[in-house]
Amino acid sequence: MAVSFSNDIQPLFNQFKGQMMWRLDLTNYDHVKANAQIIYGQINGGNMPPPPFDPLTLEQIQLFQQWMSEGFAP
Amino acid sequence: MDKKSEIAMLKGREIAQAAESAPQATTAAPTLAATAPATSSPPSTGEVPSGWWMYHGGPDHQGYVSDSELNSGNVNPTAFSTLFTLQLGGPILSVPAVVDGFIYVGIANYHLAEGGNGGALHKIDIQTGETVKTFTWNLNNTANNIPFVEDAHGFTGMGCTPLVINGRVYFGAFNGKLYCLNQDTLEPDWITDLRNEDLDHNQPITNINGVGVGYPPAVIWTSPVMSADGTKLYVACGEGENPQLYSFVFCLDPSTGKVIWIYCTNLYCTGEFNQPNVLPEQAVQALPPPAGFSIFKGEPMVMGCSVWGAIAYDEDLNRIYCSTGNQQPEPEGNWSSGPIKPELPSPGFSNGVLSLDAETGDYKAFFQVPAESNYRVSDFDVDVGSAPVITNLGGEKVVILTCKNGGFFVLDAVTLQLKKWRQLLPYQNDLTWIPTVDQHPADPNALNPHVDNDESNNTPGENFSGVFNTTAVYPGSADSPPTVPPLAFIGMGGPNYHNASPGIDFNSTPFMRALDFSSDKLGDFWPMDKGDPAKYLNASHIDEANGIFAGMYTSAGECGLSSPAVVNDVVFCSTTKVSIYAFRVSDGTLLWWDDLGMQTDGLNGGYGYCLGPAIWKNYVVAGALVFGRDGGVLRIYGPTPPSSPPASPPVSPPSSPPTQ
Repeated sequence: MAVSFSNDIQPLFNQFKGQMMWRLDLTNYDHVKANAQIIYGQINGGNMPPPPFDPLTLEQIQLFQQWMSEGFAP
Repeated sequence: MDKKSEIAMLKGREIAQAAESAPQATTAAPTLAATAPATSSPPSTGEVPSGWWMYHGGPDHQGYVSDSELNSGNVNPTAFSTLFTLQLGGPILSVPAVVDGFIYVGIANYHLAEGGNGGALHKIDIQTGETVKTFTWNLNNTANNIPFVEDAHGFTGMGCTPLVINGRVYFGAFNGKLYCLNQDTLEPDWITDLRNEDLDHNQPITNINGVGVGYPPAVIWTSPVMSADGTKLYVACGEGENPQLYSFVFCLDPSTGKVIWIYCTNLYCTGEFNQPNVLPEQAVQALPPPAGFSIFKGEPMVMGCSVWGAIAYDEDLNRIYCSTGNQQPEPEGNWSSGPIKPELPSPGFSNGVLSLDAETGDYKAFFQVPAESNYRVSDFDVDVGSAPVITNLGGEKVVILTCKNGGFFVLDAVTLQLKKWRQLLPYQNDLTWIPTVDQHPADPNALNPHVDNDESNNTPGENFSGVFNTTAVYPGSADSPPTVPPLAFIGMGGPNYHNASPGIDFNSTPFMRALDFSSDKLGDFWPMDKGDPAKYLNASHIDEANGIFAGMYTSAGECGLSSPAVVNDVVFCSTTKVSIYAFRVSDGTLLWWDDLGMQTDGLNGGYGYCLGPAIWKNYVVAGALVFGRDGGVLRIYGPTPPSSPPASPPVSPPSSPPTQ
């Protein structure tokens, strides 16, 4: 099943919105698409989300990667 | 209560408070508005505006304002309050300028820019809180086939104070461009690219080495400064965290944006000072370079040495003063074995202040902070991130410099010879180090590390507790003999998002120092207790209105990251909590304070800054990066309007699309 921003990515990031607004809006499709490589590097490298949040699971990281590879479906 | 629950509770409280202070009318005016008329008329050519028309209030960066009615008698919770709370579409990472009743404030990571990658400059009526003009730009930087890149700290907009003079607004941005806008319309008069060659503006530099392999690009952090005759504009562009980049000081024609001269702050050869307009070969693509420039072939002896803080200018000496960051590469790799080798002295124009002839760019003098001024011998990445301050002391012109190593220096303005200095971080009364100050944990990934002095002194580390900001100067009281001597106010502490040091050691370190600037030992002027270490006696109190213990020594990690500002006998200081405070100059009594918002959650504390304030007439303006939907906030403070509640927040989301 295709991964979409509205169904899969936005809900995943919604909890971090307040913390990340200094940099970009993680619930805004255009922002996340434009910064996807940076975001992927951060979540895959374990830098984000920061404590006290738990790291994203491997499945969640793979979901984001799949969304990128499938062409950033809205 | 666990951390998540605590955050949830705080969020709930914030939402409730926001609901109680729902947006009010946007036209509240301060009681003393008659003394602060707003006008859209630009100053005539050559006229120096009053107030906060550029970084720290003037080219000497003293940060002192006297044409205001604000004083220690009327800056209190009753008479002085929030007039407007504005959300402007992103975090504010710079101190605004205020001229003729209008605030000019930049945004980093403007939400309405393409992908959130870009910036904005807003012009706001200080009496109404209304945004009257906005200039925006998308990062959209694909020059030299390099896609958009952030600065080293994740920002894409701007982080300097605009210079507003002669009907124009000048500012630099993280895209390496220097902008000149019409003061009335915010339409661009000219834009000069200082990162990529811009031959239409006589700018031959292309400074992009290392960006393609992941190092940060050259950016403009420094606030522009202009010569007294209005014929020259000075700004720096570089990036000290990229070991392959060069760093330059540019002098431009303010009317055209054309480069007049360029000085490279990377020393080319030992024992020989660089000449202006001699450019490193690797930073020039168009060969031969334009007339007036020549090429240095080879590698400079040192990279880094980037100018982070605003350049200071002195008309009498016809000099500019540029503070410099650390060298690249850093030497910490040499410390992998054996005893600690101090970083200082370091090569070239690193970790100090460089003085150039304002007319020609010729080298005049250089000072580097001495190794003995480090809090710990193991301090590295020393950096001077603050702006130099030019002032008079006992009839002599001096330069004040502060450093990340915690050092405060007074230099002869002509020779840059050291006249006196002191370490601002506290020691125990027996002059030994305080273990919780400037900690260097052997395990760099440890959260909230507790290490002893031996471990810190034998582990190379960055001093996150030193000084990252510019000194504000109080000239002394007017009585004779003066009851209050000239004072220097310096914020303490830096970034608050590192594992090792989430802010200063608040139990021992004040977030601002008040020094007797005329004394030989640069002693603390405010009354201190008899503790170990001694602390300011009056700098905190329990707020009668809400029972909150506020002020210095009260909040873990709270840093005075930004530059204090003095108005008459009151000094304002903003912090990473994210808060702003006012203290009485003469004795440090806490007069007033306000929280602008909360930090975001970070590695061990969070991002959160209040940078400012700026002072104009009876208004105080401060911007911040805070937790929340917008990521930033701007507050305008002033005399409490009669018979109306304080804090009327006309949330004014930006609506104009990017235009540049």
